[in-house]
Amino acid sequence: MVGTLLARRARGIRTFAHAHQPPSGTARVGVIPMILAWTGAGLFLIAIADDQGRQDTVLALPLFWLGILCMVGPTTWRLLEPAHSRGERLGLALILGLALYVVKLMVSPLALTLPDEFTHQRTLQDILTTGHLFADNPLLRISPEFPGLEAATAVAGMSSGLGSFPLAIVLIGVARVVTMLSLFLVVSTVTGSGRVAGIASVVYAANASFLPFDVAFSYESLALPLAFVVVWALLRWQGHRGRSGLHAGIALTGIAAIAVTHHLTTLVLVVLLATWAVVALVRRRDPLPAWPIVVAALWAAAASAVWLLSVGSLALTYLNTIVTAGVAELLAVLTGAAAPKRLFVPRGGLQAPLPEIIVAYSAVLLLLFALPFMIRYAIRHRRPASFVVVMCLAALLYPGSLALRFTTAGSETSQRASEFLFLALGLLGADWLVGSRSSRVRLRSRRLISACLLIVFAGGLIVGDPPQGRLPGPYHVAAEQRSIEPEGVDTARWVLAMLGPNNRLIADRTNAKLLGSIGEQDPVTSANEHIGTAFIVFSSRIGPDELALLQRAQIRYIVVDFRLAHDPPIYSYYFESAEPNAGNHTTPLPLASLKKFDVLPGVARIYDSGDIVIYDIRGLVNSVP
Amino acid sequence: MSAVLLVVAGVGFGGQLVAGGPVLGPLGLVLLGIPGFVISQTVRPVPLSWAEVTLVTLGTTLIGMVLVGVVAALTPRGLDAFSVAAAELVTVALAAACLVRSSPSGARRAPVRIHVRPGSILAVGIGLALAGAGYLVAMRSAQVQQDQASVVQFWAVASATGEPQLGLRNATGTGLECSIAVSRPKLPEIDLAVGSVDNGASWTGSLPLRDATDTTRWQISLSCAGADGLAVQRRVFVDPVAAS
Repeated sequence: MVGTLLARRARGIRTFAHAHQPPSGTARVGVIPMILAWTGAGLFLIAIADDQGRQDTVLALPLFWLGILCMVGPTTWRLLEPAHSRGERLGLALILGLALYVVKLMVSPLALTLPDEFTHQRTLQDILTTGHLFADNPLLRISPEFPGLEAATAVAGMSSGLGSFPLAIVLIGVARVVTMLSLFLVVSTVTGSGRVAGIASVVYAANASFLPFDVAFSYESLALPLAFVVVWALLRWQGHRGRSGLHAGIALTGIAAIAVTHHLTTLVLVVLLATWAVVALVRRRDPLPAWPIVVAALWAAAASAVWLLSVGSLALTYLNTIVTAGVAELLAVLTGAAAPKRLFVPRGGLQAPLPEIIVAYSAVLLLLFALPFMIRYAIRHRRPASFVVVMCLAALLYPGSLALRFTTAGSETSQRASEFLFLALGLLGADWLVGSRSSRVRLRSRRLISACLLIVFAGGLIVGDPPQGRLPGPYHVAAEQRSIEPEGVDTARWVLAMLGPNNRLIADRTNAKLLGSIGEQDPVTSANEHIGTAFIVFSSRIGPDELALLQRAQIRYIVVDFRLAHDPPIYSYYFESAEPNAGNHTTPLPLASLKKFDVLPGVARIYDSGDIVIYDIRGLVNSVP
Repeated sequence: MSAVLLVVAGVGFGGQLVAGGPVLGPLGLVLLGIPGFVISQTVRPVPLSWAEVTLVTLGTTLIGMVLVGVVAALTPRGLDAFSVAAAELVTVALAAACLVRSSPSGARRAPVRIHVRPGSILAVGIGLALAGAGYLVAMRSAQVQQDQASVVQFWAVASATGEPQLGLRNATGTGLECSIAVSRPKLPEIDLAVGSVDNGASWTGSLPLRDATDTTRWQISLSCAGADGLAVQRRVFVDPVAAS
């Protein structure tokens, strides 16, 4: 009998030990290799699409979508299957996120070309040149006040000797991996399901900024993944009942890093943490302690306040201007005082194809239709976690964010809001679709769910980026990356080499970005100095008012791109949003307006590269008493 | 392994401190991740899953780079290889302190063995090959587009010594035969010899000084001819410098 008892006790110990041993260590990769093959095929097709886009053929867009389908279709199908390892699902999510990053790289494989990238390139150059922060950046005055991205890039450069472009690729690539990893782990921690986490990754990748903006060398592209890391760390810290130094340290240092990296992400994080803390405190029956969230919220508020008040004071004005302008315009639209912005308007002969427009609207309708069901599913749980309650509140903001799309001033806010709101939509939507709790109102067919997810994904791509942004192609006027070409780049390099840095000049939006970053010049606009220099170019003559403006702005050079007289701008304006008739250009700039500088006394035409001409107006400005 | 990695990181950043620049080239990026990895292995709760180890390593690396960069830039010396290395050595020291203070938890994560079939390896190879080929196609396409751009720059600015200077740069992909004509109202035209300018090459020449009696603006025209009927015209206007 004693022997039996001892044997039972030994079996019990072994059972206990086995139950608390980590997994045996054999990882199943499932169909990851096959998905990699499909993804590789998709990327190859998209590369061909990019090549066709450069040749401006009709094959470009169909090939692009075929490539996307190859990448996203099999991955989504596989993630919907019920019985697979968490490791496999995480691997699929990572492959999807990285593949979509490579899609962006293939559009511009040789240099940074997205508009925001030039802004941050200038801040990085200033840090590398001076070794210090907060040098003035004429392209975006607020950028130097949030130098986290550029400081991190500079650290990587000092440690590796690599140039800015490869560093940008590596840094944003790592940020993309962190985004997908942390997103997956957040959702799997909250729901306890790798299947839900995998589907949530697909839904999150459908946000309008995922492909075009979150992969740019821009401060938000680093701050956003850090915010996801902070959320994950807080969930784990709370899950360990506040007894986890690792997660506490990551959360608190991550909050500090975000505070010095991006203003909007900081403010959204403060609001998120504050709401989470309030919900956690109010819900007394929550089994997890609230104090880690409260500590994090207080720390976030303090860190952001210290940085904003001491260094980043411009951020409050900047954000206030953007948000209030959008909200004011929305109110005007709702009351009938202003007409709503027309969506998918053709510009410069570039029109979104009808199938894309249909898919975009379908995607939005699907999400709006699913929204009440996913929220109901989440709160029907006997004791939904406080974080889930916060996600439900965030999801409720989605319809309002869509409304901003019908305003000119609020479109950008709507776009950026999707990066945060889709965390909620992804978590709640995926849980509703494939979560373990029963639901009477739920899609059952895997084919139908796949189709809906693919429509939502495609719709996000379409809403976030018009075709001319997704694919490279011939030059177009004021078309962001489509306007970046060798003549403009060579001109910017020439200006730096021959005229030196920091000259005050007037240039259109494309050349201003090139001159302000590669050329290290000081383009003067109403956005950075409250001087409407665009009027100088739009005027048919240079009279006393224009001369006074040139003197006040201390302009030395005017850079004229004669291609502005060929077509109206693809995006809203040639120079800046404050220019005459911004957002309503239907005809090109008059050639006479651009040529008027040729006949002005005291003006020297010092550079000509065919399309781009530079005038030295020192003689003209100095002639005025 | 953590101790070995910390030693490597210490040596690497120490070398950067002494040399005043990176010593391991691109591998220096790996050094930046070592403190985060060690922290993931030593700070409780351990062991973490491989996914969490990866996230902790990469996340703390990014966080560390941001904070190190900002702190280094705020020092009087500023952000340079020395200050970055010094700050990173502090993170290495912190990680080392975590390693020293950590005690074995008893539960170890078993080494992950990934079990794949030969067909899976083939599929991975195909996928990576297709993706790599696609990226090469994209790069080649972008390079061709860049090379096909035909840029001829022509300018008239003061040289470093203050003398008026003409210049041109040929980036058309082919050699050019160029000539320059200086038109002066009421005065004879001046022809300046340029000759052949190879692709990628530049030419500079001096602008003649004007007579004291000549107060007009000069128009300087560049004409170039290249292969396949390529014709290039450029113009600049200057108020030339008077002869002393």
